[in-house]
Amino acid sequence: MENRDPIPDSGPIVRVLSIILGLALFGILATAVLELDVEATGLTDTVMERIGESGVDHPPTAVLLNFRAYDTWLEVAVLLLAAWGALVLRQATRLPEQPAARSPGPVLDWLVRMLIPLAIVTGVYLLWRGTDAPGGAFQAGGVIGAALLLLRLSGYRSIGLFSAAWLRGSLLAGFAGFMAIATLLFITGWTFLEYPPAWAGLIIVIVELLITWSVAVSFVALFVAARPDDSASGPVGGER
Amino acid sequence: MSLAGIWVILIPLICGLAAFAVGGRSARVIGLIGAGLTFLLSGLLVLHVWQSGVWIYQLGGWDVPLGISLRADGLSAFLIGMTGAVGLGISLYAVRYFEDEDEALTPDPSPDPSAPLRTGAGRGGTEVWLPGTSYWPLWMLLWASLNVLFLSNDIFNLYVGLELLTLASVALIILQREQAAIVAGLRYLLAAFLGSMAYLLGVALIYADAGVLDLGLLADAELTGTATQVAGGLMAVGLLLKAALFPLHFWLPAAHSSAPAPVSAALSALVVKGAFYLLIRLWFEVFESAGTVSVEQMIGALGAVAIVVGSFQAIRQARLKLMIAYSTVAQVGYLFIMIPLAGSFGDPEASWRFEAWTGGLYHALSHGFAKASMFLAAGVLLSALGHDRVWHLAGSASRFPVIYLSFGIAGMSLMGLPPSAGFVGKWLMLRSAVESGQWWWVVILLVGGLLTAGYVAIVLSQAIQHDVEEHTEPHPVPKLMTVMVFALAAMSLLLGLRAAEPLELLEIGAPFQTLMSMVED
Repeated sequence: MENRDPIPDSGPIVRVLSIILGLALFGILATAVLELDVEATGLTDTVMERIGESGVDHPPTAVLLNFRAYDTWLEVAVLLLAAWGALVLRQATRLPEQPAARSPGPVLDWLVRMLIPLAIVTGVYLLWRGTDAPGGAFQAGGVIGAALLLLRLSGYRSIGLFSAAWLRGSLLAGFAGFMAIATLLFITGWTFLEYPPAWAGLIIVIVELLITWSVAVSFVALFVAARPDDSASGPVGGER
Repeated sequence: MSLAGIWVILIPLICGLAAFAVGGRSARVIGLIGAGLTFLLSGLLVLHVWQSGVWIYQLGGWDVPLGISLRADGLSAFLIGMTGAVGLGISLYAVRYFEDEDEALTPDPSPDPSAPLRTGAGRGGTEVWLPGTSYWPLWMLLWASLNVLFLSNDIFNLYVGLELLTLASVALIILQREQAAIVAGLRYLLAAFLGSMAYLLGVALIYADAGVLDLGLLADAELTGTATQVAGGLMAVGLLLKAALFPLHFWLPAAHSSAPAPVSAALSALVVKGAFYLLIRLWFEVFESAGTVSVEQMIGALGAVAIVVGSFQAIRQARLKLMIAYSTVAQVGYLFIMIPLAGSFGDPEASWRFEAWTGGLYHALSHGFAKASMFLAAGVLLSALGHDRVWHLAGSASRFPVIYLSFGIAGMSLMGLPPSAGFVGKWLMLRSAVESGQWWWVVILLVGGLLTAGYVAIVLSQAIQHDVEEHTEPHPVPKLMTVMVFALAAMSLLLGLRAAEPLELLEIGAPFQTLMSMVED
């Protein structure tokens, strides 16, 4: 079968053609961009006008979690699908533990013990600041995910401890929580993805909290599941 | 009923997540409930558009351009209806298909001490990974993302829909636990991501130029700048890659043929149509003034090459699933013949433009049912005989009469023979080509039909041969699977006998002078 062949090394002709194609695309894009009106503000004015109704003070957060919450909600599903696709590739319901739990050594051990609490505090702070300054669920999730990864890489047990149900629950939390709130309000007569004005701030914080956790676990799941050498049980990576 | 448009997105998502959360064998039950409900809701949405016209919904109560709006016109309802019906057929087939798969993988009930996962690690610690368990949530999410795509009225939100569709498709392809499927899935992922990135770049340029993302506002904005032209080009190329128009079809045959049968059916019948839908939505409604006759003729020419090359490749294939996948390459070509016919050639007010547009869409509809039936038929043969080599099917018609009957009916629709739905689509396009004086498309439409007859005939003539090959006794195939193969093929026939209503549905909110509006004038 032709699709069993490894991807062939591209020859010089292909490389030269790729460079020409890339330069042509760059030229076309540059022409288009140079013609754009640099003063154009897009929808910034509209956002600033109505931000008072959104429940938060930071424009990007207002756009992401209220004005265009539908996009964000579906983006969380994209992340969920990516992590889940990695699990399918591994044919596993949970993630493997680091095979040999090496002793991290005194320096690394000290550093990890210092950094993990710091990362958690930073993550929560980023999440909290998201209402009125740059920050929010994705950034916070990134930091907390990094903490989980650091634990794993330095030989501590972390995400491998999650049972299948726990792992699924963590991956789902952001999308499902967002959906549950939206569906509940929708059934009780609100427009879909509309928040009662008095509750908007609280709802946004709850949703962001759940998304943070899902983002953190998804990142680690993607990293761990993509490393075939971690486990002998994955038939995909274990190709003879 | 006016909220069916929301529920048709929410229900498959809720059921998909529930199936994911519960896991195990209950996933199948939840998935099946989801399929039934989504089918009913799709029907309700079609009925609503049919009775009350175009449906528009402001999400979150924020008006455009600040918020995102959903919109269902005749075209959206038409495709959601198709997805609902084909999706239900695929779901019922998949129940038994994955039941078989999962049974083969389930270890003995006696506890296995050498199980790779520790048992004491909490609830669910001993769960075994089963393809069926992953199939249902992924399939529900794929279905939801198609509905998201068909209903969204915002070019950035459409990008999110495309991403969901791609990732769900890739995860479903790799459920087939074979190296070939994983390689094909990865190639598909890379090709589709390239397409998404090109589309997203276009979205960014348009937003910088126009300052809005809503399709309706963009259509009114009369965009003419260089940025918009570049954006249109990028978006078109990205979507052509996802819709697999020749020569950007390179990823399709391997990806569509190596997936599990219910997934192959969904990919060829529905997923390709998602990108095609978005392309014609943008082409005829947003970039209406940007299309020139030469570009349109070129896209039509690529469609023509796709018909010829795809059909010849299909004839040459030794494996049935690859043959059907190459047939999709050819059939996608037909869809793009619509572009020059409905484009800016000749009188802009002429009725042939609407005829070509509806003809292409009717072809998409008939291909949806026919191709789903064909891939599911191949899945039956594959699991019964253990292979799908075309030249070793000799005499198997006596064992699978209904399967081959369905294959023949579906083939008839692909060829465009009356009274199938494929005939309606092709006839409308032929009429449009004759009326507009673009006779060269007449030639290619007719030649394509003959070539299609070629590969359908190869399969059927093999199947009815007398010298029966000494097969080992075929693996028994559940009846429900055969019934669904037949039901989908029958639909591709019935929609040809009863085409008036679906065609009238397409007139609601159509971007053309429709026959009805001309009568009113």
